[in-house]
Amino acid sequence: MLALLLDALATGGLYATVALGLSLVAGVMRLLNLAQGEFLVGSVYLMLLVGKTLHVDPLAAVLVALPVVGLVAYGVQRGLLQALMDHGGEAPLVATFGLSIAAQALFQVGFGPAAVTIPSDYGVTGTTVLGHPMRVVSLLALGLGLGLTVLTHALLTHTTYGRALRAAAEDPMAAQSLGVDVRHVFALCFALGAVLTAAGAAVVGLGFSVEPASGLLWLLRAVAVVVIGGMGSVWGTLAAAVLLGLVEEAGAALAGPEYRDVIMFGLLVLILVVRPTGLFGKALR
Amino acid sequence: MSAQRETAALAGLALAVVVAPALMPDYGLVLGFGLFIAAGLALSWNLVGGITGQFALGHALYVGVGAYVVALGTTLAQPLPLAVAVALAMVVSATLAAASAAAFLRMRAAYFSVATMGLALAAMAWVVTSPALGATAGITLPGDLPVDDRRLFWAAGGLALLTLALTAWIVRTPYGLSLMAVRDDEQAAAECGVNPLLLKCSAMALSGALAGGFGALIALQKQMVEPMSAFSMGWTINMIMMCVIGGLGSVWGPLLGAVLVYGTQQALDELAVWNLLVTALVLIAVIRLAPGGLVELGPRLLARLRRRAPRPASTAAASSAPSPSTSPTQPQGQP
Repeated sequence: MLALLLDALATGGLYATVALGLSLVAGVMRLLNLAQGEFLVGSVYLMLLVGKTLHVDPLAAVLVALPVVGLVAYGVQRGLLQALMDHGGEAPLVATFGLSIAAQALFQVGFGPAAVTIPSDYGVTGTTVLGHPMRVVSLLALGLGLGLTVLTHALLTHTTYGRALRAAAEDPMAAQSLGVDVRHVFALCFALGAVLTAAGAAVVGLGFSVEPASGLLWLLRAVAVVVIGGMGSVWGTLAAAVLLGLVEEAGAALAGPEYRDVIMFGLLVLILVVRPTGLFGKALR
Repeated sequence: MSAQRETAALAGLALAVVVAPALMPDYGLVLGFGLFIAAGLALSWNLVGGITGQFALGHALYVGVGAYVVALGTTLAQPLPLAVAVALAMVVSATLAAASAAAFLRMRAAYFSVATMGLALAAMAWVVTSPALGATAGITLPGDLPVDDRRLFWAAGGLALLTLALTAWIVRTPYGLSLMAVRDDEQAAAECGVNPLLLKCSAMALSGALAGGFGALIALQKQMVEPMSAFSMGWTINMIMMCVIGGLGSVWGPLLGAVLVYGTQQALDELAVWNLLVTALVLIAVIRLAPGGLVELGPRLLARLRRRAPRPASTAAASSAPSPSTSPTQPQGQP
């Protein structure tokens, strides 16, 4: 029981880290980024590349990868998505879908179709927590999930940028007329979302593996978390991530690991049908 | 395109489908079958994704269900007649599509996309773990079915043409107008007295039935079904890429997109991944620069050329070229 709970907490921490970025973008910009999973997978490949070429520790590679991912995301938002969002309708969704497919193809061209993992000691070293063996990377996941949630909350509530962001989310026109550069704020938000997801990529790359099409799986998990937690709700995301981690671990333990995918996707559909507006309601707006 | 010209074009295509097998080598039949499947699926997705404006990401589900219904129907102890099995495949897919639309209708646009995709993936994951459906190995169809390449060519061509004709007809009916009204502004459409929920359900049912029919034909051609390919996300990706590149929501756009995308896929078979990369980038470029797709781009470029052409002619003061005022779109504020 304790073992299950600890596993669920670690899984939940990871899900929270990955979903926080998606939630922020969805809550502020009213845009579901279908390419969010590719930010994660791309970050893993980038960390792998940086680690290999510079011969640095994987965690140092993360520090190099995060700004790069942020810059790319900023460019994507300013150069492509902003104009489409002004038009409205399906266009932004179609564009992020196109980005997702293009990125998957790019990963396969650059890194091959096989699953890869970042080789390091973090992924294989174990430790004991309350008498239960756990991987170091699981603790890292839990720590990141908690830490980033607190940091994001602080950023949104205690900084000028956070206030501008919430104003832009509430009413872009009014914020613009009061001197907020909404386009810049949105692009920064998109970049921040990508960076948060990329931080989760560190855990995924160290503790699990990715292949070019893995992004889809992570996107769906993140969407499930966002739907339960409420779009843009920072604490809701954390709570939902832990809840989802618990249900997934318990379901896999009860029904058998081969049913993990059925449980995961089935749960997502069920959540969307039962609670299309989220369990924890709206928070950011 | 005017109604008469559209009818003429459809009749011409129908004639081509009927006589083509007599003029083509056997490999042409297989290629043609693939093109009809691609175009038909793109057109059936267009009914929901283009005309009704619901970005569905789960049409692979209906392809897979159609394929599995035919596989199950023909391998029963008392096998169903082939036509009945195919019809059943379409009915089951349509029911499933309508039911999922009804369940997902309350969602915002983007959640609808994710829910449809989640359902398709859940179905694939479920089939993989179901021994009754052959699990990962799938089901092999009986070898004595009355199908051959020529009949499949006609069947797929007929169904694809039916889908095309249906689309052309729908966009001219009040029903089609209501669908487009729901796409453009659901609330305003509802206030004008149409029922958005019913419309979206019916569009999904129609689209699901057609996709299920193509899935059934795919199963008959491959002589087997297998979850990873029957429910593959690749079907959905192809439908959307063809639709958007050709022209989202138009009648002839998905057909044009299918010819272009399927053509390059066949020509660049060995560079499949590069091809996918380029096609996805083209999709992004189209949605950013020409949201109406390539089918709109041609006439637009022509109109622009026609506007430009008179300028040098007018300086030469000998203009037999058509004057700018004859072009349908007036340049605004331009001399």
